[in-house]
Amino acid sequence: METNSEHINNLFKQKFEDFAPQPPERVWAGIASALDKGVVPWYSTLPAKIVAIVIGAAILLGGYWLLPLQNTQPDKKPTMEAAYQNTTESNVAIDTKTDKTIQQQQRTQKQNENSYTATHKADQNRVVKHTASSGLISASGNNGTHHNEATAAKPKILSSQQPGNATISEQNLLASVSNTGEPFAGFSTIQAIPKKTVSLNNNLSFSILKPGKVENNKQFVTHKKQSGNWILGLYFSPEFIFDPFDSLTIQNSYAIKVEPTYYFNNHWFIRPGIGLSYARDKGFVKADFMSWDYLGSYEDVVDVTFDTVGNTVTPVYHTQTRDVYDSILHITISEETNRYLYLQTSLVFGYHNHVNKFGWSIYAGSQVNFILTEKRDNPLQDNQSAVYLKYNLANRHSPQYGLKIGFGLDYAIAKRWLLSVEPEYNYFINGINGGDVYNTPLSGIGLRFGLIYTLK
Amino acid sequence: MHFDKSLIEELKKNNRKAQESFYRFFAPKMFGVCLRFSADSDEAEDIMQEGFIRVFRYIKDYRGDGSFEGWVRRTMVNTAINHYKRRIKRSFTKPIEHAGSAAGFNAHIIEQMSANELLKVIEELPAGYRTVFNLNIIEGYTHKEIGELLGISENTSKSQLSRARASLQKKLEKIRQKENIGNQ
Repeated sequence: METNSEHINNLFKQKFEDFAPQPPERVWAGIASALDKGVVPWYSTLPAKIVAIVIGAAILLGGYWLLPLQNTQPDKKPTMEAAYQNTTESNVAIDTKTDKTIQQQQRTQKQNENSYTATHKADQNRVVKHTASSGLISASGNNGTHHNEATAAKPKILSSQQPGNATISEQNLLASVSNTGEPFAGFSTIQAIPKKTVSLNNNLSFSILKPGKVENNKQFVTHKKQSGNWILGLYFSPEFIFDPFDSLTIQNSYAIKVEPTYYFNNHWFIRPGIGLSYARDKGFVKADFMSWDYLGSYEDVVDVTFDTVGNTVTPVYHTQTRDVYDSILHITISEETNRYLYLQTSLVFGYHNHVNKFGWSIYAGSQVNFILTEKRDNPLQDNQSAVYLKYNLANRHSPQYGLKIGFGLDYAIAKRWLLSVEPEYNYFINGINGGDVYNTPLSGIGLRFGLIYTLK
Repeated sequence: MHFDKSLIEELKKNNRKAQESFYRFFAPKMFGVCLRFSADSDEAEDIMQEGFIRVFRYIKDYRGDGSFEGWVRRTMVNTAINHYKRRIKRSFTKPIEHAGSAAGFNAHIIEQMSANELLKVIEELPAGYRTVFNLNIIEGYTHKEIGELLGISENTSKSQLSRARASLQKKLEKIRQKENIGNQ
């Protein structure tokens, strides 16, 4: 005999047995389009794209300093070339007054003595050449009609800071180049990677590297001059945000950022940054819920009939099994945690100065943070259904706009490497949480630890 | 349309014409399945589109044993279940109504209603109830199977079904009352 429950079930089933409504035509269009596109490759997904951008940026910046310095000779600009025999190093020197590039190149192993040749190409028709050998400097010029040579005494070493680094007196290097009419005019300071400095005519100086002592140069650790330089910093920073809320605790967040810095001159810099931040909130959740747990079953009497057995009337109870479920309203208050992953972007301007190995900086700027993903704890079990759920945990909103100011201390640990510590103050203009109660400006302090590499 | 091996082979070769013929044949019935599992027509379209794409992509896995329509239908149901799981990951809050007894159902009301009208009532059910109701009552899955499919316990499945029935009963009662008022 079919029960009412089974009958109802069958009714539903029959009603939908032949239920076949016509779908809109756009469904097939969507299917065909998806089939044409094929399977979405993993590298087309959003997370993969973000990772690719970060890796691409890292490669771009990393590749920039890994690239060997190229010799460039403008066709028509005057060029100074300096060749230092006995070494194979190639260095670049800059004429800071005239912005002309001077290069030291074509080094050979012909002599063991300190000697060098400087060639000044004023134009295509004139070459001025200086040679120093065995303590003598000779200079020669040839503009097609003149050929001149001049000599000077062996350079006097004034001081030696490190093995392989010496400063040479400019007076002893005065090389009078007669009859050229244009003896290095226009050149002033020439700065190069090597630490020997030679000056000519009080207007020309350049640095050379002592042959065979390249390694010694690495011992000289100090801040590099940074004008026009890029440096690349990798920063890790725990951050503490002051929250004025009773029922919401904003926990420490942790960020890792890549920040390339560009120096306009030796002091002033601009620093964009991009990174990821992990943040958490803790708060209380009140939930009214039904558990609807299955508690058991009982036999419900649906009919009573009477049979006569012998002369006795006996009742026969017809029963039906009834399931019993927990239908009482429950209330729970629990402390839960929200977790967020942010994309952080920032742009700061700052001033940097250094004394020997130590440096300090101040900076200020802005930041914008975007929520990439969030995870909220569920206070209920999977068999519990919320009737009323109130989160005292406010949702964080995105984007968050902030201002920041910071102070940095850095220390040169190797020729190009620095460690830095930067206490930082952040002011979140539009707060970090949404809602009426929580949407208020907040302050935070962070401590950034950085590893910095000077790119050139 | 008879689905012989050659047509299935064409589908496995990604033949677009065969795919379209296949779709045109099965789409109405499968759309009915998807509608039952969805809150609205848009969601049903999404499920069906995803389901057919899965059918075409995984048809190579069809080994030929059992009904082909049954295989397509199962794929559609599984897609609807996946859709439901993704949905509850985003939001777990849902309205609830007190449970009643299935014995209180008025069969007469159901008999008089069309499938479309019943669908409207089912669509109003919370996603969890609707899924369990469809799986158990229409598709014939046991509570144990539903528990495994949805990742819930057998008792939870029973509870969900009980609540679904109670909710449906309430909604049908309301419809009957409206009709009665209308007739008076």
